[in-house]
Amino acid sequence: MVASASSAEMKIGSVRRSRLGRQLRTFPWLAIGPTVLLLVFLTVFPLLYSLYLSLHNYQLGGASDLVWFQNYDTLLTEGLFWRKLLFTLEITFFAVVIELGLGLLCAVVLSKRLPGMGIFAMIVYIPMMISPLVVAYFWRIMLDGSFGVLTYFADSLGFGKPQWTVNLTLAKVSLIATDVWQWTPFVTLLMLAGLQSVPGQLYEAAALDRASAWMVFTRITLPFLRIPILLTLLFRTIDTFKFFEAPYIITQGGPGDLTESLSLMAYNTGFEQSLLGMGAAISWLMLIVIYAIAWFLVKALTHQRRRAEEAIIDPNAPVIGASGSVLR
Amino acid sequence: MRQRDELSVIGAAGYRLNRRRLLRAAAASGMAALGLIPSTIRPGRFVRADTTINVLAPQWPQGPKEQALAEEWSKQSGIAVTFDAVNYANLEQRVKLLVDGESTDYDIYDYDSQWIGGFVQAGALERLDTPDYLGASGVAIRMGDFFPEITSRLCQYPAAEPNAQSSAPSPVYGLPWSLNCEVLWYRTDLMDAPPASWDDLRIQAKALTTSDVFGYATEGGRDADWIISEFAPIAWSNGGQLWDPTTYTADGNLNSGQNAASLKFLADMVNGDKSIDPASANWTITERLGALLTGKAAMCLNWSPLFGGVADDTTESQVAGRVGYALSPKGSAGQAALFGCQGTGINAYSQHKAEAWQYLQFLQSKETQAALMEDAPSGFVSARNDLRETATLPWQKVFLDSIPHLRDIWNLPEYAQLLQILQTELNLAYVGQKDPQKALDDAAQAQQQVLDSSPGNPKNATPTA
Repeated sequence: MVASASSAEMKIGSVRRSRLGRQLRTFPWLAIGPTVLLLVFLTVFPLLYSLYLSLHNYQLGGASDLVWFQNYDTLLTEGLFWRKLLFTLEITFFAVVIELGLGLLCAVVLSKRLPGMGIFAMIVYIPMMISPLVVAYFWRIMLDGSFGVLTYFADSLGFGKPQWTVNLTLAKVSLIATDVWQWTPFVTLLMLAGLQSVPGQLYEAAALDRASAWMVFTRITLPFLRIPILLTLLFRTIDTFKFFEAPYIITQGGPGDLTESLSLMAYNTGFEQSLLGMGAAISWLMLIVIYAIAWFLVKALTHQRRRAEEAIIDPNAPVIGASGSVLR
Repeated sequence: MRQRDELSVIGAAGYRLNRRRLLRAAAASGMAALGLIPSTIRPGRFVRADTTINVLAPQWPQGPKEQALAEEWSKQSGIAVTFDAVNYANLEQRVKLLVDGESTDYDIYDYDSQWIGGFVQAGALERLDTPDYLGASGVAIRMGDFFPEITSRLCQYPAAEPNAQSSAPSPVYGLPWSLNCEVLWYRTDLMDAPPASWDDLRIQAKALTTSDVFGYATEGGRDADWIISEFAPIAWSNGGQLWDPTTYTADGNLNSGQNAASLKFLADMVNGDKSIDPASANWTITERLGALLTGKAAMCLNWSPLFGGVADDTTESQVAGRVGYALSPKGSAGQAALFGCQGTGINAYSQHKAEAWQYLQFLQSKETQAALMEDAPSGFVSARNDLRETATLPWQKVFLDSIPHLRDIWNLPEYAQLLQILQTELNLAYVGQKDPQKALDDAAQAQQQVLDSSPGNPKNATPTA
């Protein structure tokens, strides 16, 4: 009786445990399920649907025949797509490099505990809080070759009236400047976080060794900034590559279509010309390019993270500086 | 006899009742119970009362006045009218998306003349030259009430030549809604008379250009239809064409010698004479008008009567009282004014087509159109022939005088592709980055590819058995 009672108890217990176990296993899925479904609906479905569209010659209000990869073939064999790609990469490259340099400079300044840094920080961060569309609109006004305030200053300084949005070179500079103005604060934030992760005793040790500012920066500060730099490159490259508001509002893609980015080309093709299938194909080619760039950057980031983790795991391991000198 | 006496007693108020009238009254009551009221356009038929129809329209200045008039009409008709006025730049896409989804959200779509081909292809608009609408007996309006130069381009597709005698007139898909064309706005204090020809304009513009004022302002931007609005009137007035609509040919038409000369004329004014602000290569309609109203330019083309009396509004204009309106200048082949009219049509998927048609008839009635014309801020002129003489405002009169010279760009479904191709090339020539002839050659070549693949191209027509 006692044996059967205890086996019954064990049976009940195991049933309860398995039910509890099932509930414990399913509860997380139930908790995140609605969110996952929403994400799938908002991201995966549009992605797949746009892929579907790109395989058709879908026109709003018109034909919609399956043409397989004809849209892609047209884009890749005509020179227009490659020209827009090169232009987009050109703007992305210069904008990201300048943002990196300026962002680092601002971060170094902000990391100094000087009076007024709080207000300076607030001013620095304002641009990235403004909507890109609003930024584009007021840069368009400032850059107007007739009544823009920047044109006025240039004219007052004896440079005449630069046609910031009409001359091709100046138009490119204008687009880069707009992006740099808005997103350097974001880079500053990332760099500042990196700077604050540098152990203070390393600077003290360098001071004792009478290391120059340049040596301190290159041998101590910069190694700790590898990850923030890679993060910056990753985020800003992806973001700048798909820039749309600035060429759409400031230059209208002009002169001609020489400052038309790939995003603007996709928009004009898909929505202005109602060629949604072709517009979707342009977007998918953009995705492939961004993915390729991001893949390399993520790989480099992962490598750096692994190195950083190894250093944390073995805190007694010597820390070798960039030049090979032992820092600790 | 007694029954008849009783009926006569019932009708003591003077209304003599009989069976027929009783039956009619019963029928009317029954219809009213079902929410139906007698149709004013089809006697003996009924439309739903207490219905709301929704209109999708651009944010045009006539909107508030039209809304006020519609509210008055609603009290009599029992049909409420709601307006959704959206940014013009997004309206075409929005309608196409709605039609793609067979939406019944709206009952009436207002459209620009360029869009009619695409809307007809998409099946967006109800055909109106049918016994249900314009062909109904007792209908309040007829196509003959309106200027044929307007209706042929705005209401019919394919566009018909005005006054053409055809055994198969083009189908009608809409009615006129807002009429505009480009005319010359000029500073009356800077010149004795407006230039009559483009050559005169060029000379005057150069003479009037100073360090603070440019002789002529343009919208040279490559987006939308900015720069073509400057190029087309010059090209047409010099005998140029954008394409041959009967053969769907751009090559040989767009890149003709006349067009190249016209484009060179415009580019030379910017880069040679310097009588046009070079910043205008990126300007839209806002900057062009702004240049005139702030006194930075002596002349410009601009839409009339859409902008109404803005030039004389002291809150908007620094040159109030000093702006005149004239016809678009002549070229070697005559005059040409760019057509800029909008129409109104019934959504083919509407569930309130009868009510929408009632509203459109009210809108096109002489009284309503006259009320809109009298409202200066509406920037409105009617397409009705019988209201022509009632135009009192100068920007209305100059539009009416321009009617014989109206010309429009393409309105086929592929118009946006053709437009974007030409805009790009015109802008490149305008800023001096490309030779005008080369720009037009490249544009014609690219456009020809679009036209060659168009289902509307006669070469692509399916042969009938």
